[in-house]
Amino acid sequence: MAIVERLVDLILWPPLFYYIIFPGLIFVMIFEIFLIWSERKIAGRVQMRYGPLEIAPRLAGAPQLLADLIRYALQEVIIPRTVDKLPFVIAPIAAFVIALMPLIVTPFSPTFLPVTTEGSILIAAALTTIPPLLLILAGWASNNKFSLVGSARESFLIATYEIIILLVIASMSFLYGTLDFLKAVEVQQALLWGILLNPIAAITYFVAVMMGTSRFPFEIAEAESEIVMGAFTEYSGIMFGLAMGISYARMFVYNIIFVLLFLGGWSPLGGIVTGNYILDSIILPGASVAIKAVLISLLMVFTRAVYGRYRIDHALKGGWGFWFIMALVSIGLSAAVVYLMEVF
Amino acid sequence: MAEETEVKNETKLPIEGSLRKSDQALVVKTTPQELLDTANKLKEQGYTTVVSLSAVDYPKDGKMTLIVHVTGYDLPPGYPKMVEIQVDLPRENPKVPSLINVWTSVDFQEREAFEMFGITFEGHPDLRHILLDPEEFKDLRPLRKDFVVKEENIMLKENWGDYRG
Amino acid sequence: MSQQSQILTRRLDKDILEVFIGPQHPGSGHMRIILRVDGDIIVEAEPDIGFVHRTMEKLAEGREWVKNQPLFERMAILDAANCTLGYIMAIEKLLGIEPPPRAKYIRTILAELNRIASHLYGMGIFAILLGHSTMYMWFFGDREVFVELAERLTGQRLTHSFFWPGGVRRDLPSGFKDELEKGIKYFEKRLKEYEVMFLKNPVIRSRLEGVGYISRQKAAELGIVGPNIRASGIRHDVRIEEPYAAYPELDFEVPIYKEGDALARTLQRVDELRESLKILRQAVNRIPEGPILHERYLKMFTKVLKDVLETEKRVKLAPALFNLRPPKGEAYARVEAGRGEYFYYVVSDGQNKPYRVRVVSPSFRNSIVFKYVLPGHRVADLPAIYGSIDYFPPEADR
Repeated sequence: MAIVERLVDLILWPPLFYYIIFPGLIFVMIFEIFLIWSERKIAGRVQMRYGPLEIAPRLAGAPQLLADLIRYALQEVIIPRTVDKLPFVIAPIAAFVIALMPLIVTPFSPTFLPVTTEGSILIAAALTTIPPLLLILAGWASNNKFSLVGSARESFLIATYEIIILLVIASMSFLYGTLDFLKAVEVQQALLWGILLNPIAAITYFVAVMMGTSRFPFEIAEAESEIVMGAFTEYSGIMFGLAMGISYARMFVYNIIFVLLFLGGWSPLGGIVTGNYILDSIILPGASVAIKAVLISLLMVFTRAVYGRYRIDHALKGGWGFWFIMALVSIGLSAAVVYLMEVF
Repeated sequence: MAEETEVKNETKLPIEGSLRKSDQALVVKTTPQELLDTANKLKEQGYTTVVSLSAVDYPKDGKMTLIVHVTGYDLPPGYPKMVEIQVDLPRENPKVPSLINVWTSVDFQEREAFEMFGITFEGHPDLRHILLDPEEFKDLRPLRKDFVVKEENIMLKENWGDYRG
Repeated sequence: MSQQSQILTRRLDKDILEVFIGPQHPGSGHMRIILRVDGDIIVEAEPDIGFVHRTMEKLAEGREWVKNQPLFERMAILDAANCTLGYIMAIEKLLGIEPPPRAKYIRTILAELNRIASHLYGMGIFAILLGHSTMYMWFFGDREVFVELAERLTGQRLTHSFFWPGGVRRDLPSGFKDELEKGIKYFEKRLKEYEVMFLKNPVIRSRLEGVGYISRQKAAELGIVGPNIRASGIRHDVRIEEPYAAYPELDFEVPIYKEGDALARTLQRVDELRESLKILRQAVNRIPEGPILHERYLKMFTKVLKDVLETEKRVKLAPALFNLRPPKGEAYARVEAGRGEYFYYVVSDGQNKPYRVRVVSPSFRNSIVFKYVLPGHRVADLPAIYGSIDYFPPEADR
């Protein structure tokens, strides 16, 4: 039995557990399967059809993405002769890995986290800005006109949404007076959820994340009817599957940050004390964070059923002309809230 | 003596021609030299759009007839709805002035007549193949009567085993 | 070196990128548009059509007159009734016969069913080009109603081959009137939902407003047809200009828009859907009793064929009927199909096969828009313009 205990200990060793199981790779995979399945199911319901049904009809086609992944994995990965091979291969893989990196510093419970640092918000925000650069690299390395146009569009969009997201995160950390997620959640538990303290920041962040993870109506960088698949036009097989997963992984990470900054982190389930360490420190708080993140993600993917696609100049005009100003306003609102808190 | 199929133009349109009984189209016969003149006259009368520009090949008579159908949207009452311009051309190296400066809508149709009949439209800025493959149909003119379509049998009765490989 | 490749590889100005949209592109049909773009702005566009060309005009010369009907249907199988009606009418003009009134009404009903189905198809493609997947599914799903109705009437979902010079091949089936009324009521309800979801959708509106503007004068100059020219303010509709079938007896309007942009073309189509519903309702209520085939054929019928016509209300075709020999002469006929005006010009030399058939399809005439309207727009406007003119490659290529 000692071996089993050792194994359980090893699996529960925070760095390993955190990065491999929850909220790392395996959880993100399950999350993506669930999210893509429900995106297709919801869209199907709106569009008078069934959605995925062929694989396991009793589970309403839920393992469809697994089947797709197996197909992707078995397909030949074609690397065209004209591409710049090293960046072509590295870019999507690196982008996927780095897209998940912010999870190192995002806590899922007050006690269970691999890296404790004072500047966790700063690190997470910095890491989220890297994957889009790798997407641009992928488009450039593909040596394809559609990829190039897709990269150019992506680079225009980055400049817009990254600034908005960073400004909003700055406004919230200004409000909480900290750069640490743990303290930010503590402030929210003591006071109010961030979405009530600064609703403008929450809405702005929500829209900017939709822009950043190319959800409709901002699915501009990979607009199918215009530029085929944007930066990923030349990819095939598992590389394509990976490239498709990047935007969902990024959306997941952004929404974890959203939950921690605006939706009170692990409250309400995190406050329950049962005496069991695993239940108290991992499952209950982790579940409350994850469920909130999933709900926000579902809201984001639902827009596919309602909206078309903006033109890039409309999106940029909206980004700089309206949401950028809203981000500045949210800083002002934060300042006002901080002032009011000090007065009362 | 066949039944009269065409009657004199009695519509208000001041252009010489004859009305065809079957469909009430005004048929205007002209020559390649006067084609542009006729076209300009028709345009002045309000015929703004070319519906069809094509040809009919008559190898027995040794001629080819360019046929242009013109219509307009704000025609005065009493004008025929459709005017048909007929131009007789030789079968060898037929040439007509391009109508593109009169009617822009003729652009692609002249290219089609060029590839299908080999009619050269002098003055067309971009006269090349539009529907057919320019390599394969370099010298072939499919809609001429001497181009015969080989009809394949539905069932290969003899030696069909050879084709199965 | 061939002509084409010389043009494709010609030297371009500095900073001009050549983008090939199609034929293997999710946003193009069976066609290619060669775009030369400066940044995001199109400076030159060159439609390269003909990928599904079948030289139907030549093939038609090798078949008997009526056997060309299934051939011409293949131009636009989703609008099969409208695109063959012109051919049948041209033969009727040569023969000098008119179909009986009941046949005219049945023709009108089928033509309008096809028009609605064709509009819905075009708008479905348009929606997916703009990234609106819900409307794509809705348009295609609701199109099924009218395809099924056409199947009830003719026995075929798409390629009906339903007309005959001087009549139609089947009478209205029993209970058709109620089913049609049910379909119309359902669709009227859906039209309101379309408005909320698609026509008033802010994202869609921002994509369409002011895009692909064609002025009234330019529309006449380019010779575009159908809803596209009507959205530019020209009331050109063959149904009122040269009325055919039962249209002169029916009460309907031809809506026009003055704006001439992609949005106007979309709204134009929706308005035409409403008018088509109106026509269908009237036609099915006012349909007169009587024969469905010209009496000229009855002389040729044997007793068995006459019995089938009397009891089953359908025309059983005798082989002799296919040897139709219209007298020598020429005739043109035009028909307003879903996408615009079909023009047929037939030349007969008295044989059982046509001497020459000229067909001009609306998409062929509309394809000129790509060359003359696209320059000056953004690359992202291409789907909006492409979809809004409802271009259908097999129809254009013939």
